[in-house]
Amino acid sequence: MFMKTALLTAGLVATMGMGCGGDDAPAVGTGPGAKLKCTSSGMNAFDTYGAAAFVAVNEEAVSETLAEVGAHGTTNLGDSFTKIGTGTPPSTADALPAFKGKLAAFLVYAYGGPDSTTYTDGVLYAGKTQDMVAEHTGLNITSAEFDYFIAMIVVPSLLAKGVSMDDVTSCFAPVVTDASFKASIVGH
Amino acid sequence: MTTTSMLRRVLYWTGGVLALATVLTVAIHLAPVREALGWKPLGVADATGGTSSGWCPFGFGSTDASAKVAITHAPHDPAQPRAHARPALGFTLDATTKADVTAWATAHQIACKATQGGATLECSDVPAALLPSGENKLGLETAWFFFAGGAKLESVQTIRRGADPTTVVAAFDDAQAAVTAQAGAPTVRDGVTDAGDLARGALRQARVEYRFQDYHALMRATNMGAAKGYLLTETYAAVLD
Repeated sequence: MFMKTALLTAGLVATMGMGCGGDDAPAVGTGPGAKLKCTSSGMNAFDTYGAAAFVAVNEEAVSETLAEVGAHGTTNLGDSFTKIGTGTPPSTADALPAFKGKLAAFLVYAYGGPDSTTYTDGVLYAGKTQDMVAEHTGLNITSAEFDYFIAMIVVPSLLAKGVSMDDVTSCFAPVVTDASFKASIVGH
Repeated sequence: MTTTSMLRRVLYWTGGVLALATVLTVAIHLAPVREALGWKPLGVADATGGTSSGWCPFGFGSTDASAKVAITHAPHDPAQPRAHARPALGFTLDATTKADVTAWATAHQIACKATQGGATLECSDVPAALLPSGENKLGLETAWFFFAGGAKLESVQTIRRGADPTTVVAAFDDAQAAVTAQAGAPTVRDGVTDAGDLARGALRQARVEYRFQDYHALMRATNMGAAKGYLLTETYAAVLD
């Protein structure tokens, strides 16, 4: 049973790696974080940590989000995550697996990976062409909810999966703390 | 019946069953069908912490409440010692009542409102002088008091914001000292270690966590980036057996 699980996991990660152009050469990304350099490596976040780490962080962040909503309801994160899969507003039409795939694809693209990603469900998700405003329209996400999500979900997820504090600051933070990025998510 | 025709019949039946199973599997994950079955949106618990009634072999529909709590708060771990006390901003978890908190808020003219059907009290602008670590100047922007079963205080969560890393780290240290003195030593302290380190860049963070058999506390101070200041969050929770 353990062997089956391990093989399945390895296969899924390998699948993602292939979808991310998993050859040995660094990916030629065009996302906003592609030119950032992690303190630990001098390379961008995707080239430093690779596809498997992005899967791990993505899964951790989603789990932490659902845990937060389960523990505190809409108190800190608002009700946007409770609408996943409902289709109301239309930006929430994606069910959880597709939501995770799209989130991962965007993160991979944003941090210097390829424009699209085959996630662990075997589906190819576009990263570059996602419209952040459209994806958050109707959710009325507040600045406080955004800040809470970054400080209490994103940063702990990165640290939990082995990203160093210096790398969080150097090659992850500039993207999510950028004012225009925040403006594309908050208040729509 | 020839072997070929029998094989063809078996293949037809197998294909039909697989097609039907596929259609049913897809159908039961459509939002309208899930709603008709009484399932909540994919694995998301309701605001009161309850879970959906459905069950799905793919993990959709219902979530395990204990698993959620285990992620946000430490799970009940009999191997851990019990806390000497279970403090939360000067209150005591699983002892302080909603009436106690309401009386405290009234006495100090703190604005609070009941949310989530009365299960939570949300209080704004709590002065630093009312906190156990009142010597620092950073009051609470918001404090949420969660009550188990509507009576006893189950958990408290707070947010403070500050523009000065020294003040935020002082509040972080004071809050930590207050819990250590009453509950016991922290289980984990990691991340940045002082105000200078916190100020070195966006999303730098200090964390201290207490995991006892019956008590969990977590404090995080985070650099939110240029012009956004620093965020200090605290969570205090009773861990139920």
